[in-house]
Amino acid sequence: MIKIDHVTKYYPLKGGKLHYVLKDVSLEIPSNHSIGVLGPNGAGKSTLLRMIGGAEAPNSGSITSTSSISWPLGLSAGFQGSLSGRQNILFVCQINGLSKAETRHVIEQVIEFTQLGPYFDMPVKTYSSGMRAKLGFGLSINFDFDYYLIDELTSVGDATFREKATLEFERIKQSSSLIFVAHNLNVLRKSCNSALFLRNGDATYYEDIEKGIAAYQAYIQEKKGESAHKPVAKKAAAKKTIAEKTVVKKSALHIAAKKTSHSSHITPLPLSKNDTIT
Amino acid sequence: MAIKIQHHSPWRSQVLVIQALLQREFITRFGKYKLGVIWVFVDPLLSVLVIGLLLGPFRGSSSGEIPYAFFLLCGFMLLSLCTGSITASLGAIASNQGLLVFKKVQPLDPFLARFVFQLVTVSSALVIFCLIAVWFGIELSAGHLFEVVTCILLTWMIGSGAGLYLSIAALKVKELEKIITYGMRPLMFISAVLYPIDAIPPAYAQYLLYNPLVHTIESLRMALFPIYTVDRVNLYYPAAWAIIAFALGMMSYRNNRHFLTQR
Repeated sequence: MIKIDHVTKYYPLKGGKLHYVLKDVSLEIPSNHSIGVLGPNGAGKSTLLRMIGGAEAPNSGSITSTSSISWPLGLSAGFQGSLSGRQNILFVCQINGLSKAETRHVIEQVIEFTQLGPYFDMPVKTYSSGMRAKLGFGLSINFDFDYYLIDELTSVGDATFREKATLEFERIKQSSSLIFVAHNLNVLRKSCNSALFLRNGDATYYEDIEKGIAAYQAYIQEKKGESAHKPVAKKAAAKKTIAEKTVVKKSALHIAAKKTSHSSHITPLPLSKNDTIT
Repeated sequence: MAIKIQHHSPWRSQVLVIQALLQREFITRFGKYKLGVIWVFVDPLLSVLVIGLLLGPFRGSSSGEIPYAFFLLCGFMLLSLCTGSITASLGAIASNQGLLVFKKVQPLDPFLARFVFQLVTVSSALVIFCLIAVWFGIELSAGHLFEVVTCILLTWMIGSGAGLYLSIAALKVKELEKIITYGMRPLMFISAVLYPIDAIPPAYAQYLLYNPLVHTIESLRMALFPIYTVDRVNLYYPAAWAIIAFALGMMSYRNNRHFLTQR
């Protein structure tokens, strides 16, 4: 269980103001439970994960847990760009005090999972974001964590990686928990039972993920409505909506074309963009 | 087969992190060179060679009892231990940002690793140089090893404490980084690296003696060469500097440790 007790987190803005990411939030995140974290951009999803993972401290309040928690796995998965993939993995094994045999085992497993080939001995800064995500995830599944913090991990990477990742999520869920940040709601539906919805410095926990998603979507609609009712220069606004519409049409066509061309492949995580709210 | 991460004692955990970070420093610092770690010794030798070639003709053999090359080397190594620690700490956070996501790696650790790196490389280079000097027939005394170690440690503490304090300040006010880099340049001339402090007229020397590095550098020479004597230096004054610098650095870290993990 992770206990979040009266946590407040803010960042200083230019001009001395403070941007509150979380305001006096208290929660308990149960174990053996997978949670999808929902919220608009900048709501503090990644920051929450970083705080749970211990990479960053709250300004006030405390996050306590007796469970073992992974580092936040995602695009900036905790690798030093100037070191190679192998050296980075050795670093993680070293700081956790693994024996030589265990380290060798981890390296073998990661090589097999990531299929990076010669890139495994190249500096991580030469990796694509997908390769980085693979390396981070491939490393973390070798450890027995009670909680895995996943930050937009599957939004990069090719179909093979997603397929592998989905299988691993299923395995992890048997004995551990996922705390999952993703903008693709279908991915969340598939891997999570509950939801945590962050907005305006507040966090709400929903036992049922569908309820969380519904609340999130209602919030998005409300926001849309608000911005439509705002008295702005009408002509400019009208122009903008027309422009947006054409863009939407184009991208919709684009997706449709992609879908048909890839229909022969079995995609493990169907990417229906209609559900993706970014 | 998933591996359960074992709990280590705080001390063991700290040692593991510093070891891993040290290894990372050695890889990135020397991994790209063919000569590798040899550069620890070649670097200062080259610097001393250049300075010696520039100043040698003017100096003659007036450095007294110590061969000038070795006289210069002693001063230069201690100075670079201090300035090197300051320079290394300026980039400590930025070049380890990726590794700070691990809970075990606290923002102080990259600093500590770099300070230890400086201490290890500079003192091992100094030991090697002393052995070479003995081999060339320069008479060194081993009777004052305690003073030698104290000189090295005090210089290191001054550099590390100042480095920690200044680099945290430089993360808040970016301009400071430039000012610090330029500010360290005259240190070579005011720290008795190139000349013995006794060669300076007393009217000016009294100001130079406010610089703690003058005391540690001259004391190191005195400890290595019993016939070399300087009257006005002592180790209490730099010790006070070392304690104050270290305390200030640690205080600043304690107050700003949350700021350092923010991206």
